[in-house]
Amino acid sequence: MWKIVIKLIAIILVVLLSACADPKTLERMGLVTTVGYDVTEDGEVLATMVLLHIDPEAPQNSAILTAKASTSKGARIKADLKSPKKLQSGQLRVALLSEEVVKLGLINLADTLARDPSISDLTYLAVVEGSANSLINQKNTHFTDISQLIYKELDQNIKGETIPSSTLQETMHDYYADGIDPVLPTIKGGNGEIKITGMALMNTDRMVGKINSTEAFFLKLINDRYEAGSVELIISKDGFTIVNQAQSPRELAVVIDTINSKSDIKLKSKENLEFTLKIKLKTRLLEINQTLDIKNPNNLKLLEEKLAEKIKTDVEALIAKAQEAGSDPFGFGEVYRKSVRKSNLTTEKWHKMYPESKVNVDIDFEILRTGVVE
Amino acid sequence: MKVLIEPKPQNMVNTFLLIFVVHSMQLGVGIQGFQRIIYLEAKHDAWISVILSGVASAIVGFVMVKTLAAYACSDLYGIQYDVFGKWLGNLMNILYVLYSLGGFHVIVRNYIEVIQAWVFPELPNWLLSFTLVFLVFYGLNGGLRTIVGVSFFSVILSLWLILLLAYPFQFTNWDYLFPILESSVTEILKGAKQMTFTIIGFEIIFVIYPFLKEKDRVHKHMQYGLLFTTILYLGLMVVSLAYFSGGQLERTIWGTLSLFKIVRFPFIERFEYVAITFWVLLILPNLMFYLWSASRGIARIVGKKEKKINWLLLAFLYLSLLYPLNRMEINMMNDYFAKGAFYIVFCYPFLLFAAVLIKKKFFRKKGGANVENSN
Repeated sequence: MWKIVIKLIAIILVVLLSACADPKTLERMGLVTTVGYDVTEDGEVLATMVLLHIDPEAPQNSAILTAKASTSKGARIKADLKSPKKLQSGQLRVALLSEEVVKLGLINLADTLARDPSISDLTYLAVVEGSANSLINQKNTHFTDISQLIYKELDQNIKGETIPSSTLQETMHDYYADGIDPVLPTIKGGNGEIKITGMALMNTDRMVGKINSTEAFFLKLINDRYEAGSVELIISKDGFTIVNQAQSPRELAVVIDTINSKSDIKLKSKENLEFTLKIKLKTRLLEINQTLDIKNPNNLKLLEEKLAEKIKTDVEALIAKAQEAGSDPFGFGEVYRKSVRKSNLTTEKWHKMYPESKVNVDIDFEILRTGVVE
Repeated sequence: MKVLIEPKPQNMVNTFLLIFVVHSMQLGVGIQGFQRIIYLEAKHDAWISVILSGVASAIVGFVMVKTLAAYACSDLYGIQYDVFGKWLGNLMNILYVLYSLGGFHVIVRNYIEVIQAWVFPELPNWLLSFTLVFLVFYGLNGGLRTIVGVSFFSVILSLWLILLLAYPFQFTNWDYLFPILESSVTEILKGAKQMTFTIIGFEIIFVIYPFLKEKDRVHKHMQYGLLFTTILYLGLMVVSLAYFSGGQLERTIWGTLSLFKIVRFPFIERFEYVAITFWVLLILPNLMFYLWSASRGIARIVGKKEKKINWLLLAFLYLSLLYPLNRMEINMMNDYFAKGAFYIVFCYPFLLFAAVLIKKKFFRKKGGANVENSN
């Protein structure tokens, strides 16, 4: 008797309750894959969304919607009014923020993204030089779906260790940490291409400066969350014996690829706010633009010395630049917080102290291999 | 009421299974978001609080088993009846029954809130609670051995979730754990106290004890279960501290679930949905055991069969779950429950143990001897 009753209840439940949750049929959903935010002249948010079409007969496999409202979610509601399919943000891959938006502060938009459980923490954030709307709307011949182009481009370069990673999780992490500021890649559209130009330096959540892609490499080198990728460095050729000197350019361009790098930041003096930054770099030589005799150990040694010197000055210049802008993407503040007991560090406090801090850079550079031929 | 119980051999369970019972009872809804509560008190030394709470649970576990071992084969209800007498004893028994029912209610509430916040915002309360209550009723029909089986499988089948911590591990930065011991001792102790809601559950030993086969091995297996839980919580706490930055952790309501947010497989991109729905399996033993111990309590007091009481209690709980509460109110309810649980689980056992010792020492010759263990 009991068993029958229970089984009956179970069957009734299965039949009746299957419609209780909101059903989400894929064909009826408009999957937002990229969203771009601009700020209009009257201070409203202009959201541009790229939708993925699942319909195989559609002429294009993406559609673009634009809507304007006071908040980002408000813009989404308005965009829903223009869409034949219900908008869903679960497949959001990239959120683009125009430079103007980020100069005003990105935390409101980023917080909205982080608050929504349907949005992945692995969504990439990026800053657009110019307008996000026109970047998304530009004609491109290489890719049929612009959101795939942007996503793959960011993903490839972040995974390939060319630029620091800027997922929603990492941005929120650095924003809420006291002694480190987030960095976001900057991208620029034009001529049917989308190019990563470098990184945006931020003071808490406001963009205060820009660095180029070579500087982004050094930033990655200092941060040492993973390993840094390849970089082209230009040094003077004094002291080298170079064949065919007459036709060659004045400067020596060398491309190195890091095999592994290790950076270590230590607080040297608490009172003077002095840090020591030690970078250990093991690399292999990929290319030199001139015929340099690298069989000669002296040449190789000189090359190592010069490259180390070059990296040192570049890193120092980058730190000085960031200090001037008032942004600490390296996390010196975190080192300070970690090393000083009861520092009670807050973001404001650190931003006041940071420009006065001094960093001694020490580079340990080594070329391990020069390829399979000499 | 009879103080001593003589369970039928077919209702007894192996003591070895106590590890799973204790662990699955401790693991529930608290683990979904304990990081933030502890962090608010102890800052980045929160992991020390977790260790301290683990030590506290081991000590209390020891006292609980010692109390029970003073009797040949009895449970909390029998002991309280024996020690405090008919009226006071039964009053305490009713209090413990209410506590168990409260535990049931709080778990369902919190789980429903998680489901609504993360997966199905429109799903009504009545439906989710009905599904859970029905499941519990179904399990309880099988008796204690079924419930123990559920708790065994709940632990075994969810072990693989731990492996997924490898994903957030890639984003960890160990600098956030330093400097160690920056928070004061009081802050760390306060943090440990905040662990109450997460670490309770092992008080089930009070009710399940008579049904365990090998009584001399109870303490050992109890401590294994507690140790396993403490290690798991410690691991989660350390990873969370290194994964989130301080301010971020303060704003993350369900830290553990947010850790799962980063897991991405080629065939399933948003893993937290799987984890959250899988959590039913983790809370199911909690619900079953809490209801089982409540209905056993009432059955012991009034001397009726448990099955009828199950019905009534579940209907009562279901009705109480229909009352709508918002986030603030749920938080408040959690706080009140945790406060009560702190006294019931972490303070009261010492009192009871003292009472049992006193009774054993002074009243042995006066007729109470028949209920006491011969050694």
